[in-house]
Amino acid sequence: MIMPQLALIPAFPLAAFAILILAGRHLGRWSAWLAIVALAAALGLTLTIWHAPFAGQPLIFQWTWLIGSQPWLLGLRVDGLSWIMLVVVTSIGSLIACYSTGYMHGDPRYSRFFAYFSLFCAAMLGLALADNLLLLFICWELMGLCSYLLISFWFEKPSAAAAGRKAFLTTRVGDVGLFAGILCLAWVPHGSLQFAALPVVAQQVATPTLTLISLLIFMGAVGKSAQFPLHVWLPDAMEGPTPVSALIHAATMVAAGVYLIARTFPLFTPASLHVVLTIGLITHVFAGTIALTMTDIKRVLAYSTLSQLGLMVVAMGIGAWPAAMFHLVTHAYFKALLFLAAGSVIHATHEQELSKLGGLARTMPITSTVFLIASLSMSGLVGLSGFWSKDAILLAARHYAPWLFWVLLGGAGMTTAYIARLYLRCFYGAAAPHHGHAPHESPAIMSLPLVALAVGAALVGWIGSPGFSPFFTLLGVHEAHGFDLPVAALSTLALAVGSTVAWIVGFRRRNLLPAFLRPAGLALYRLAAHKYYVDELYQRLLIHPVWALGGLLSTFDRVVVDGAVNGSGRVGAWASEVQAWIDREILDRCVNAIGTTTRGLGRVMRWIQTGMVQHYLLMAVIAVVVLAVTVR
Amino acid sequence: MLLTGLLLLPLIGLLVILALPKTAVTAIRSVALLATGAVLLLSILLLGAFRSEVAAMQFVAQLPWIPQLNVSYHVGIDGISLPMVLLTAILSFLACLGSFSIHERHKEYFALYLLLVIGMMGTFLALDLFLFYIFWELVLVPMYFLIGIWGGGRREYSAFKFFVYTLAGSLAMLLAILALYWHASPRTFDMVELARQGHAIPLALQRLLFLGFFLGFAVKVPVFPFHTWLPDAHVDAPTPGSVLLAGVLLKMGGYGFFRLAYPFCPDAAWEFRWVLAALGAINIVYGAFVALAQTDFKKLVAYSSVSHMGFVLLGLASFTPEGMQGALLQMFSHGLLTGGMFLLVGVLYDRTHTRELSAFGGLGARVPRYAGLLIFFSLGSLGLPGLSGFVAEFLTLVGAFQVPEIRWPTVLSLIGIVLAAAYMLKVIQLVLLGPLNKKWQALQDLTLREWLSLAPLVVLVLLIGIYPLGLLHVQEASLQQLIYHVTGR
Repeated sequence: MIMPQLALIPAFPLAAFAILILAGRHLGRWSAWLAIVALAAALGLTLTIWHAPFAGQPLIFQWTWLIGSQPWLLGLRVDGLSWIMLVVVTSIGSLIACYSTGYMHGDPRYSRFFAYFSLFCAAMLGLALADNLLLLFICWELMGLCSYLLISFWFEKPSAAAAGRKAFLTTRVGDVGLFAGILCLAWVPHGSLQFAALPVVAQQVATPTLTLISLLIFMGAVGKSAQFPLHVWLPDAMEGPTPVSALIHAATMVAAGVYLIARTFPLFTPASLHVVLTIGLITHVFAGTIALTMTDIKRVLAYSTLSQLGLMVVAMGIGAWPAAMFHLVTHAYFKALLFLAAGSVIHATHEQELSKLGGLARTMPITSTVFLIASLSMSGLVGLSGFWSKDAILLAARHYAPWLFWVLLGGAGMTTAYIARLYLRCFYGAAAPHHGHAPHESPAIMSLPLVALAVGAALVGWIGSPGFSPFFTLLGVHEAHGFDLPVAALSTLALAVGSTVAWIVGFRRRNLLPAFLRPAGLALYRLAAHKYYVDELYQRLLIHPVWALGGLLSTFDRVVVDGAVNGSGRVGAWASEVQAWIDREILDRCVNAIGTTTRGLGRVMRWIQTGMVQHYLLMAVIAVVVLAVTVR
Repeated sequence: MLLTGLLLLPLIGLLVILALPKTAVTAIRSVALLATGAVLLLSILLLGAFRSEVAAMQFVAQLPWIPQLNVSYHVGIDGISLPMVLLTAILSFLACLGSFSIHERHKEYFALYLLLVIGMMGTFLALDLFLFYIFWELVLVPMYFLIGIWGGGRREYSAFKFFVYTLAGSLAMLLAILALYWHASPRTFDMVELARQGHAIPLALQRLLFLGFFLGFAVKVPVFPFHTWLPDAHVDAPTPGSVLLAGVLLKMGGYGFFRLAYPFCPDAAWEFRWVLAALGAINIVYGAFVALAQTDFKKLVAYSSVSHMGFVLLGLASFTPEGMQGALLQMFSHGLLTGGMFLLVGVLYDRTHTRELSAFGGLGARVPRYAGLLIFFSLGSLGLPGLSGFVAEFLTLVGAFQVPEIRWPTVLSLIGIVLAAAYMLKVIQLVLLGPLNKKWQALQDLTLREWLSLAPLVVLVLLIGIYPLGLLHVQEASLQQLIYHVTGR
C-alpha cells in the first residue's frame, strides 16, 4: 500500500531540527517542548498505522533520487521489523527528551541540544523506514554526524571534543566498508539495493561474492554497533551529556548496526555468519571483563552496552536474528533506563566515580528503585524483559552448539556480576562524604520518564514471551519458541552466582582467589582495567603512522614535487642567463668587433680620403708604379 | 543573444568602471556588483529557458570573425556547460560581495575582476577553438594581477608561478589545437565540427593530441604532479581570488576534458581511461594525506581541492552515465563548497590576520554563526549525505566501480573518504572546539554582508544534496551524447 504520509514520521523531528537550528535561540525553554512534541507526533503516527504491519502488508512510499544508466530510487517502507524500531525510537526518544529538559536545564546551548537531538532521532527514524541500502546509508551517516555533535556537545572540554572526533572517525572506517558493500551490491548482476529484493539477489549471486558483500556490510555494523575491533569510540562517547549516552546506547546509534544485519540477513552466508559469531563473541566476553573493572559509573554501563551488543551479534551469527532483534528492543528500554538513572545520580551528586558514591538508596529512592529494576531486567530475572530475550538467545545457542550455550551462560553471570557491583556500590553501603549540598531526588520531569521507562524495562519483554508473542508475529517468524525450564533454571543460577560474586568481591572487596593465583589474577585485572591496551595499540599502529605519512607526503610535496617545479624554473632561468651571457659576451662582442673593425678601417680610409685632387693623383701614380713593378 | 549578454554585461561594467574617477569607491563597487548581478540573473533566465531534453548546443550565436582562417565568434551551451556557466555566475556575484573588503586600488581591482569574469564565462561559452583559447588565456592576466597586487605573503612569487605554470600547460594545448586545425578538412576551429570528425583522426595522432590537451588541463585541474602552483596561489591570493581560483578556474580544466579532449580524441581518451582513473585515485588519496599535515587553514583547503578534483578524473575515466554525472556534479558542488570554505577563511583572516590553525581554538563559543557555517561547509566537503558533495562522490564512485578496468583505483579512493573526515574534523577541532583562545575574546561574528555572500551557497549545497535530480536532468542528455560519441554505447 502506498502511503506518502510515512515521510512525516522522520519529517516531524527533522522540522523541529530546522526550526531549532534557525530560531532556537529565541525559543528558550520552548525548544525542548518543540522537540518532544515532534517526537510524540512521530510516535502517534507510528501507532496509528499499527494494523498494516500486523496484517503483514507493508506500507510503501518511493521516489526517484538520482538518474544514471538506471533510476536510483529512495523509498520508505513499514513492515513489522521497521515498525518495531519506530516504536522503540520514538517512545524512548521522547522519554529521554522529557528527561533532558531537566538534565540540560540552564545549559547555555539548551536549544542547540534539542536541535541535534531531533536530528538524531529523525535520522534514526529514516534509517528504520528506509526500504533500501542507499537511504539507509544516508541516514546512517547523518547519525554519525549527530553522534559527533552530541558527544562533543560540551566542546570547550578538550576530552569531549576528542571523543566526538574519535566516534565519527572510527565509525566512518566501518562506513567505508558498508559503502563498498553497497557499491558491490549495486553492480553484481541482478543486484539490487532494495531490502525486499535481497533474498532473490542472494540466490543469484555466487557464494564468495555474497560472503564478501555481507562482510563489507557487517563492517558497517561493527563500526556503528561498536563491535571489536571498532569498539573504541563508544566508551569515550561518555563525554557527551548523559541523555545523549542513553540515546546512543539504547534507541539509536548502536541499534542501527544490529538492525542493519537483520535487514540484510538474507545476504549472509555460512562463512560470513561464522565471522559475525566470532566478532560478537569476542566483544561479548571482552567487554564484559572490562565492565567488571571500570570504576566510572558511565563507563561500566558503556562496556555493558558493548557486551550486550556482542550478545545480539552472537545471536545474529547463529542465525537467530529475531532473537537478536528481541534483545535489541528489551535492551533499549533497560539500558536507556540505566543511563538515565545514572544521569540522575550524576545530576544529584556531580560525581561519577564509584569510589566517591555510596548509600544513595536512602536519599534517592526512585532512582535507586528504577536502577534496580533495570539491573535485574538486564541480569535476566525471571519475568522481567531481559529474561525473555536472553532466554531466546540462550535457547538458540543451545540448538547451535552446547559449548556456545555454556559460554553465553558464563557471560550472563558476568553481566549480573558487573551490574550488581555497580548497583551495590552506588546505592548501598556507607554514604560517601559529599561536598556541598546533600544529594536529593531529581525533579519530577526527570523521574517521571524514569518510572515510565522502568515499566517498559520490566514488561516489554512479554511481547516476545512464549505463548504470547506478537513480537515474532510482527517479524513474520511463526515458530514460537517454547519455555525451556532447564535453560531458565540455569540462567537463574547464573544470576545468583553472579550477584553473589558481586556482593563478595565487588562490594565487600574480598579477594576470593587462592594466594598462588593472586598475581595472575591481578595481572588479568590490570589488563582488563586498561581495556586490553587496544587504544594504545591503535594509537601506535594506526593513528601515528597515518599522521606520519601525511607529514611525509607533505614534505615530499614541498621538496620533491614543488622542488622539481621550482628546479625546472631555476634551470630555465639559468639557461636564459647562460644565453644572455653568450649573447652579451660572444655574439654581442662579435657584432661589436665587426663594428669596431669597420670603424677603424673607416678611420684609416678617411685619412686617405682627403678630397684634394693632387693627393689622389699621387696615389694613382704610386699605384700604377706598384702594379707595374709587381705585375710583370 | 542571451549568451553574448553574459559577456557584454561585465564588459559594459568594465568600461563604466574605467570611466569612473578613482575616488568613487562606492560607485565602482556598485557597478561591479550590478554587472555580476545582472550576469547571475541572465544565467538564471538561461536555466529557465534551457531545454534539458536536447543534447545539442542551444542558444547558439555565430558571426564570422577572421574569415581567412575560418575563425568565428561562435558561442552556445549544452548540459555540460550550463552548470559551469551557472557556477561562474553565482561565484562571481558572491565573490564580488566578498571583494568589498579590498581596501586599496579599487578601480583597478574591479576592472580586472570583471575582465576575469569575461574570461571565465567565455571559456565555458566558446564553441570556436580560437575563441576558446583566447578566453582561456585571458583568464590568466587578471588573476595574475589579483594575486600579485592584492595578495599576501609571497604574492609575486605565487602570481608568477601560477602564470608561468598554466601558460606552459596551455602551450601544449595550443599545439594540439593547431594540429587539430591543420588536420581538419576543411580547416576549421569549429568545435562542433571537430568533434564530429573525432573518430576520423588516426589513433597515433589522437594520442598526441590527447597528451597535449591533457597537459593543458592537468595543470588547471590540477592533476598530481602538476598541482604545486595551487597551494601557493591559493594561499597568497586575496579571498575573492581564491574563491574564483578554486571555484571556477580549476573547473576549466575539468571542463576541457568534457568539451575538448573527449570529443576530439575519443579513441585515445577511451584508451587512456585507466591513466585518468589512476591519477584520479592518486589525487584523492595523496591530496587528502597532504591536507592532513597542513597547519595553514588556506593550504589545507587548497589540498582538499586537489583531493576533491580527483573525483572528477575518476568519474571522467568511467564513461558511465553515473560516473560522468558525478564528475560534472562534483565540479559544481566543489565550486560551491570550496567557495564557501575560502570565504570563511577570508572572514577569519580579515579579523585575525592569521591563518595558522593552531592560533585559533574554541571560537565555537564566541562566534556561533560563523561556527555553524564552518561546520556546514566542512561537512559538505567530507561528503556528508544530504549535502551536495555526497551526491557527486556517490555517483562518481558507483559509476567508476562498475568498470572492471578501473575498479582498483576506485577502491583505493575510498581511503580518501575517511581521510577527508579526518582533515575536516581537524579543522573544526582546532578552530572551533576546545577552550577559547584568550586572544580572540572580542572576535566579531559574521556581518550581514558576509552572511549574504555565504547564505546562497548554503541553500544551493542543501538543494543539490537533497534534490539533485534538477541538475542531473540538465546534464543528462548532453552527457549521454558524449558517452555515445566516445564509446558508441
